[in-house]
Amino acid sequence: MEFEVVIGLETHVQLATSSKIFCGASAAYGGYPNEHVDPLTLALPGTLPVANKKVIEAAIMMGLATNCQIRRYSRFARKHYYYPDLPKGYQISQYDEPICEAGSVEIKLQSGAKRVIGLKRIHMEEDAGKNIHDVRTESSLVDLNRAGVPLLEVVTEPDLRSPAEAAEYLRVIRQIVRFLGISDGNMEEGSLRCDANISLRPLGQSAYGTRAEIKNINSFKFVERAIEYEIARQQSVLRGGGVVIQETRLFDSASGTTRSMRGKEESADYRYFPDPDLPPVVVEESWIEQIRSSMPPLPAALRRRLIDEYGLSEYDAEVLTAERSTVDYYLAVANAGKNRKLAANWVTTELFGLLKRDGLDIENAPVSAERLGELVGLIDEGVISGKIGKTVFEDMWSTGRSAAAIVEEKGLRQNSDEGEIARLIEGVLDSNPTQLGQYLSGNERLFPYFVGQVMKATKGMANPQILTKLLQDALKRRTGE
Amino acid sequence: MGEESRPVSSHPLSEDAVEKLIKLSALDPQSEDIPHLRGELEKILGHVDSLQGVDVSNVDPTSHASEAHNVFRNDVLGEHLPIEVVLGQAPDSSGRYLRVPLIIEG
Amino acid sequence: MSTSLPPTQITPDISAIDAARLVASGEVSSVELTTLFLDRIEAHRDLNAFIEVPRERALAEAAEADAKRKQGAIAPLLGVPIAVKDLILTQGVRTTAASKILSNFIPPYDATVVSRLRAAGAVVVGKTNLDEFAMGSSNETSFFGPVKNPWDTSRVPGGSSGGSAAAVAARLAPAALGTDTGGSIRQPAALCGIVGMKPTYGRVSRYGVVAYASSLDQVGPMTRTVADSALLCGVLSGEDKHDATSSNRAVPDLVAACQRPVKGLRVGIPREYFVSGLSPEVKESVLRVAATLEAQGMIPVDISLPHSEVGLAVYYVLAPAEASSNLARYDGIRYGHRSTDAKGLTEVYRKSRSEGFGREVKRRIVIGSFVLSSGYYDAYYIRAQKTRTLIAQDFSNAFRDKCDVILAPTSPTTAFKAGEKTADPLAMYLNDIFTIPVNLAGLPGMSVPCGFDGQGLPIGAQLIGRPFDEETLFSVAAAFERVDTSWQKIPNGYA
Repeated sequence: MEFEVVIGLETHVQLATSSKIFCGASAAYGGYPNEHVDPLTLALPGTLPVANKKVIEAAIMMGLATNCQIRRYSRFARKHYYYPDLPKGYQISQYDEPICEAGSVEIKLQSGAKRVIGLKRIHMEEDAGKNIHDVRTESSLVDLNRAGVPLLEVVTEPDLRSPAEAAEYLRVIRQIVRFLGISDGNMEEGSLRCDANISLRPLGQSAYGTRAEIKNINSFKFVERAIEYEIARQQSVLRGGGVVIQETRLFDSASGTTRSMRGKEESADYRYFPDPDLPPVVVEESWIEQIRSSMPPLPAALRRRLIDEYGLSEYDAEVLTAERSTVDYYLAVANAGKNRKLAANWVTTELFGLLKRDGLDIENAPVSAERLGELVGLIDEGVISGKIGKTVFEDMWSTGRSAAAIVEEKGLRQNSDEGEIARLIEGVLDSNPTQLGQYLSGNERLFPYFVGQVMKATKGMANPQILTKLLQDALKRRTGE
Repeated sequence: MGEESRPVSSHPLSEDAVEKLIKLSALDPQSEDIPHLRGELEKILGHVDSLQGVDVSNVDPTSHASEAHNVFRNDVLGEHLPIEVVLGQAPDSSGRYLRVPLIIEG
Repeated sequence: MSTSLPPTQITPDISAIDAARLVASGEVSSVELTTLFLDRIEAHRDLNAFIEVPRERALAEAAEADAKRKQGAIAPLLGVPIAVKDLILTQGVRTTAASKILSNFIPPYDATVVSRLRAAGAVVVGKTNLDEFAMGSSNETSFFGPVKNPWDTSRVPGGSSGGSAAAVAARLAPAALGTDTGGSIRQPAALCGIVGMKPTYGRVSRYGVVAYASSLDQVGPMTRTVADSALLCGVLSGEDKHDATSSNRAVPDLVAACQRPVKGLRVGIPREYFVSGLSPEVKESVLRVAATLEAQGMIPVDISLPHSEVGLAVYYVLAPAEASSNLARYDGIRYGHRSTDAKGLTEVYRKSRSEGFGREVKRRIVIGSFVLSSGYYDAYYIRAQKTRTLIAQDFSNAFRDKCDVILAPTSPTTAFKAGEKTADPLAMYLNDIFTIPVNLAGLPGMSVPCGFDGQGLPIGAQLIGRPFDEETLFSVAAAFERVDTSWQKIPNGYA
């Protein structure tokens, strides 16, 4: 029996705001345990939540970036359960009136084909604190730093059909939130978390099979592994004539398996109701427009621009729009250096090469985009050759000086004096009669030899394009003799 | 108004149901007088059931008592509580952490 | 020049406004005044009106007020001792909500209303007793024991702000703060013969007030005079950025409003509030208020508020629902009582809470869990919220078409005997049938003393106003007070 895999993902995006969603305690990652705690975080009696405007704006931006409908009227709701990392005994979330609904995200498969993944909803909620289990002392230690940090929960329709698609979808979400500047999207640090709902159904069947929810996936690599394992597990259950139980399972990265969460009582009754402490959020068209017009451009739109306006290849456009910092850097180089294709080349090869060599991020590149642009400009104008440019770049990288300064100081301007080059060419041809003879009898592979000789005579400073052209002319003349 | 009405609740609560509610409320079934509580709840819910006779078609619920909407704060840092205050009234703590008996993850 | 009056010349019967005036002029020092009331509180401990009396701290605050006055500071309540219901957080001073679960809780911050009192120069003289977590109508559920009514110590003062009501009636403080969710300021005010005022929902910040039912709770003043009530209400009111439900409407001069003419105002008499269940003496006394107001040029109008009859049912769905949620945080983990018998995490929650909460509180938490649980949410919670809309519509229809203020009884009876209604929760809940609809509609409501029954027990009349129209309420209450002397009577033994 052949099965179709049906996957839905629930992704939690931790927002990079300064303060928490409902109070002024810090939302920063890290810190000493229980350092970012104020009366509301501690759920002291009498404390009241007040919504952080930046969180609403981030939610609207995320909705716009994913083609969602932004609800005009949405509310916060209380979700009740008892756990030490949930101080109030309820989480403030959104229930039947989430801020964004009915969106979509496009993913590109390895085959090059594109698929549209539907988004059911995006809503705002607060994060819980952290528990550290200490089996030795039979106690759990509670740190409330993370309690109240703002989250966006993004829920897909069950539209994903393979582990690879799921990972690709997650990468796109990560790229979007990083481009919008609303989150680091870092799975290892927990600012991007993912639960997967997986079910199988016989090919051709329209009704969904029973699904299991997989939690505790904390890297992109594990996303595919966890889903692969779960698919295999469910397949063997079904092929053996059994039924898949609807349950929550934890992914264990050490063994690469999922295991059932034992001891869970019948599903919790969260007793949702609208939070009476928080007035409704009303999003008028004017607010949406204001956000739309001030939003950072998104990867898809930037790719289009690089291809259509800047004339770059699809491949280069993709590489340059992988991260916002990369495309920002490239655009600055292109503006300073004028030749956009040359700029793209330099960023994707030379710059990336040195970044990798030194283990640096583009944000920490020792050469600024403006400086690199200046270098590209010098090459484009023919002041220096591309080859010389590489050594200049290395010098800029280690000394922090500008291209112009290095070129002047080291006398690296290429020699574009046609008259001098022509004379040197004549001199080289005259002093290498054997090779000249061989060339004229048909051995054209000796051309680079003459180039090399002229280059040696000019200490490598001859303008290669001019040299090549004049050499070709000179050889043509000699052929005639 | 003011007449005491004691109709039987249309959702009679069994003792089992009351015990489940006690657990849902994070109260201790061992310490509560379940039969007595059941009787009291029945009586109160019996009175509450008078709501079933009200015509609420075409009425919206009052979800919010205040007239406000879009009440926000700016994304600025406020004051934190010093750790002595955070842990100062905690019945059990360890170092900078609050402490509870081990949570068994299923 | 100003010389201090000997302490014997200041009577405990002094109003807050008069006390403020005497302190401002230098005739009396705040320390003398505060000492007077601290001594009286001590002398009348049998009333059990107070849970915590921070004597040294209060005297230090009084001394500070005196120093400020000497430097020329002017503030409406400078140096005046005010009692605060122990549901309202006071930094550094134990705040218990009259519960075992918070019996040793010391807040690290002040409620906004307390900050406002302090900014007005007031001295917090003590924390008054209340029904546990504000759930009750007789102040008999407190972990710290019941409060006695100074008019007859075998009877209850009403609740949940019973301590504040008894304290003001017994002249243990010129004024006190209470809270009102279903009548908890107005009903004890009526039973103790004082003025109790619940502002419009959103007028006064709830930040720092232990939450019972978030969409119903309000803080308000409990005083002996209408003018004191207006002054205090003005001090407490105003938008608070810590409370997203607080209103940004400007706060008018409520003391000035007391002088506004009332001639021509229409006073609605809701027929549903004057039927059986109401004691005949209370009915007669309140109807006499209508006659008095008519004599002053107001126009009594018959109105109908039909859905008020199910107000109690609505309240006993919504208030427990919100309470079960608001009380979920009391688990013995970050503060408060933790059971020493707990083995394992689940027992920490269950045993700490079962031990820490009293029976009435637990009853309401369980009801709340029930009406919010899946399967019952629509039939109970949503239905109650819709009925609430109908109750509010009754009032807005009456105010739109028929009247400018509404007159009703506050409580169906005068003060009942201690223990008389504790066996039957429903009998106890019925004490609030006239006050609850006002909370459900978010309207401002006041109880003013209007007479006494055959046993000398106080009777209160309730005035209800349009949303944010506290001015009309105060003008009518003040007009009534000018021609009625009920408010002046002092309970025996408390002069």
